[in-house]
Amino acid sequence: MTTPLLRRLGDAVEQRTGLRRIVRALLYENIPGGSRWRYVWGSTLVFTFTVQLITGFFLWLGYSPSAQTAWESVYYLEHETAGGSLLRGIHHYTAQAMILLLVLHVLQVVIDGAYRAPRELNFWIGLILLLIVLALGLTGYLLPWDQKGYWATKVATNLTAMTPVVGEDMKRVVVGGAEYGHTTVTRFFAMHAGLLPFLMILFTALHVYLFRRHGIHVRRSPRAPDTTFWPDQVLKDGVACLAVLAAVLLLAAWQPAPLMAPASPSEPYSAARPEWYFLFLFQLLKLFPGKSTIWGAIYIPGLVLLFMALMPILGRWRLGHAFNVMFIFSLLGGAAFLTVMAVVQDRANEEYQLAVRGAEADAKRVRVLARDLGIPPAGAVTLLEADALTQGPKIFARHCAACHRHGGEDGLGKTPEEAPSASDLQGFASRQWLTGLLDPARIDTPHYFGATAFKDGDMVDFVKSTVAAYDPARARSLSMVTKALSAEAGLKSQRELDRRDAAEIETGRLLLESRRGDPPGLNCLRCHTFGENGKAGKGPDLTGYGSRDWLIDFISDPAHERFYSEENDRMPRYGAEEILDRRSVELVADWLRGEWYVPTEESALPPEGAPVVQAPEDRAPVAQPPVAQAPAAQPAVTEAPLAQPAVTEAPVEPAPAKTPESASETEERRPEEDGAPSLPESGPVDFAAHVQPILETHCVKCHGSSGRKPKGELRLDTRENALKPGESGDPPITPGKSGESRVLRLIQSQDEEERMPPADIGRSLTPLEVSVLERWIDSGAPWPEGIVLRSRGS
Amino acid sequence: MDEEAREGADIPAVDPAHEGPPGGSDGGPPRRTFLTKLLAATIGAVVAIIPAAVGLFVALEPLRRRRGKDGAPFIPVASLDAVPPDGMPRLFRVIADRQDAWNRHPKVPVGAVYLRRSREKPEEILALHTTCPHLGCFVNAKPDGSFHCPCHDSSFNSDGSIASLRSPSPRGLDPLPTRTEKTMILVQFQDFETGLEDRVPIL
Repeated sequence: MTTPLLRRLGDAVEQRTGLRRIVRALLYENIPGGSRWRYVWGSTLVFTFTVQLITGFFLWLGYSPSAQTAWESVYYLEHETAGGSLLRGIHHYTAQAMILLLVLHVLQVVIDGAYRAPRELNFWIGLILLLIVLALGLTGYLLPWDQKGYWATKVATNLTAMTPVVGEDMKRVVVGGAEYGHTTVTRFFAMHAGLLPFLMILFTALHVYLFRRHGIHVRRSPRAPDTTFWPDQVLKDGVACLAVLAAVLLLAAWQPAPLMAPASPSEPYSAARPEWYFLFLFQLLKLFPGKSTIWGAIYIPGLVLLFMALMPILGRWRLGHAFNVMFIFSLLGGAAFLTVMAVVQDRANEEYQLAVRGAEADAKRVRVLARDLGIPPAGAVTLLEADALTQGPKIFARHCAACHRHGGEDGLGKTPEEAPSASDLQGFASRQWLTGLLDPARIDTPHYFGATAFKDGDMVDFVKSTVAAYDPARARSLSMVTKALSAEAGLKSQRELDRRDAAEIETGRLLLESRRGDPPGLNCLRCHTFGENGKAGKGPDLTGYGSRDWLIDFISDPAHERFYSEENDRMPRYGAEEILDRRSVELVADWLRGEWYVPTEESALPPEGAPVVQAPEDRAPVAQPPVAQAPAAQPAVTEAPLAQPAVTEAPVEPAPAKTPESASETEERRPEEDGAPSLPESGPVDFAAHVQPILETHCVKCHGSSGRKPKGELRLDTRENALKPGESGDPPITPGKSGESRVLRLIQSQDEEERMPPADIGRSLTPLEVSVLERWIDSGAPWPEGIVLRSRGS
Repeated sequence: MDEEAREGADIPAVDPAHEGPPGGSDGGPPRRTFLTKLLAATIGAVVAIIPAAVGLFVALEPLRRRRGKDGAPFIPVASLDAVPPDGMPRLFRVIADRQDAWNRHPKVPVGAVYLRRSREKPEEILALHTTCPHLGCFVNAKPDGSFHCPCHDSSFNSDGSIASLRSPSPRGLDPLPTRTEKTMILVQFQDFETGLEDRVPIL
């Protein structure tokens, strides 16, 4: 029994509002012939739109509409806010579900002839709703302000400019000016979250009102008895909505909504495609050459819409209705055909596939940079612009790959059709690279000087005649000179090796300069300059060979007297002739040298840029068995452990048995061998195994929280403390940048007063310990969650 | 389809006491099985709640994102010479790296402090937060060294204590821990909740 009080309250509300009547009118609408599954489409559309309103509002809470913050705020939501990716995924996939449901709904209406009197007006309202939904999709696509949305929107807005008479002005108003920027985002956002949803609600209300007024369109005379909307049809509708929602949730969990690299007008984006439901229009445009584009862009879609608007009138005749049905099916068939055609063409288009992979690599890379380096106020696009791993290969492909190769490719994963006419620069100045250069069997292959004017030059001649005839003693000298020369480059990937072989390198430097002696010198200074010695001009300066400055200077002006002078073979003077700006030269030099930010936890993301760039070898972990470098026939000189400095590496030996191609292939990718027991040779080190003991033994006693008051405010006991700016402003550790990290500077300081640990507290760190910390910091200073260091006492 | 059959069976039953059709022209509404209604209502609620729940979870993110309780870092604010021991408070900006949602701002002003050294104990440095503990306005220093809040007239003595019984602030100005390093004054800059008698740090 309903309590009288409740009923009285209900009656009172009813008297004043008529609410009960309205609810009843909504719930007890008559459904002639009983509830049916085929009536659910309209309800699922209302449902999906409601989902969009709800999720859209919550997305709005985190979205910042401007060219410098749109991508950034979406990034923050997608990757740094719990649940954000799911929320965005729901909005993303519900939008697409809505398009599909809309097509089904329209199809059903046309097939059933439900557009006929008195329902013509409602049909037209439906068409308007269709256009609004498409406009919502179009405007929403831009909002993340990523490369994908940016370029797709550029195309779409340029299409509106084709509209006769008002087109250009229309585009200008939509874009908010002559260029795409802040006002484009604000305008699209206002449309997407303001006007369009408002119109959508308005027309949906009208649509539903008229639908209720006319009642359900029944195809055949009903056999089953009538029923009401609640609860039978509601149940069916609910089940359908649940199915839609489940599909959306699955999709969102399986494949999060994409967020490509931030929009940049200067970055080519060959992967530009509209969302899949616009693909047929995209493909249609390809069929209209030259000036006829306007037919594909405006006239044909316009005519199709016009015809659809005329359907209710045409459908009054039996034949007209049949024609309408035929039309809608051929329209769908045509769109499906065009869509499939677009997909098939893209699948077969290697250029496009490469662009997609490149775009995905950029998207991943910027995510890592944003996460670890933080997004500067100027926006995330600057992170990629300053990133050697991103820009290096692109600049290389554009300016260098016409002659050079990088691992046989153009830097972006493509193998140019034409044969290279200059050396392959992958691993330039590394030991392997130089070993190959100084190999009589390889120096005149296209991998090195084979395709250049230097093929017949003095260096090739020297290597092919003199080096080829080296006795074992000189071959050993060559090995040390190679190491010394390679050490000049100071490559990140060889830092550990260079440190290990310091003695050999020192000897190598002397051998490089001297003519004879024991071991015998190689007399490189006959042609080259090295340090203060030698005569310039005949060959490139070997001082700092392959180092950052050397490489930048070389790329800037290879014809400089320090390098090739007038013997420079076709290489443009990129800096001197201002072909590239300084920054681009630096970026490509850094990339060639393998200098870029390496993320903290590589495992958190799939390997960066894998298809695009190959990190210079040398990353092989020590677990890899020492490779027998030389072919079996060769009596390989066994690699002796550290104790014996004058070790010869087999490839340095003249290897007449090798064919040039196979040799260069295998050697180039051969991992450097190493005898160190547990520490990986290069690359990241393990925090718990290597870093933690050092910090706990030498640092945390004072720079920690264990009883003693920290001497300095600087604390190294937790990651948070170690990354926190100290009194001087600099944090003790800057992940990825050992050079900028205070800790590293202080433990290596030459100043007794400054050096850590202080002399009265403990011994200085050994070079190996320093290198471990350096490598750890360079690999992003990974520090497992929650580990607090405690002093071990030294 | 068997559902339709069930509906058919249910048709004759009419519940006149319950809601009737608004128009009433096509007869009373059929009574539906309780199960159908329950199911319809449940499913309806589920599909409506899920998207809203996801959104709400995301919107409540600020409640989950809190800084650790480790204490704020000491930040160099001014040199000792900039704060003569005359008992007068002086205003300094606090410059630090700031993470504002997605943006990392290196070395930007994140707040301000009053620093004061008294004549009697020049080695003691008093650092006071510039935020009024009443409702968060920026407190002004007056020429006599006392403080006054422009919003609701809270007034404080030069040592930060409440100056008058009519002062609406529930507590004195918030002192901040300081340290000196050589000639630099470092302040552990930290915001506190306003309106409370206790100092509750905002993490």
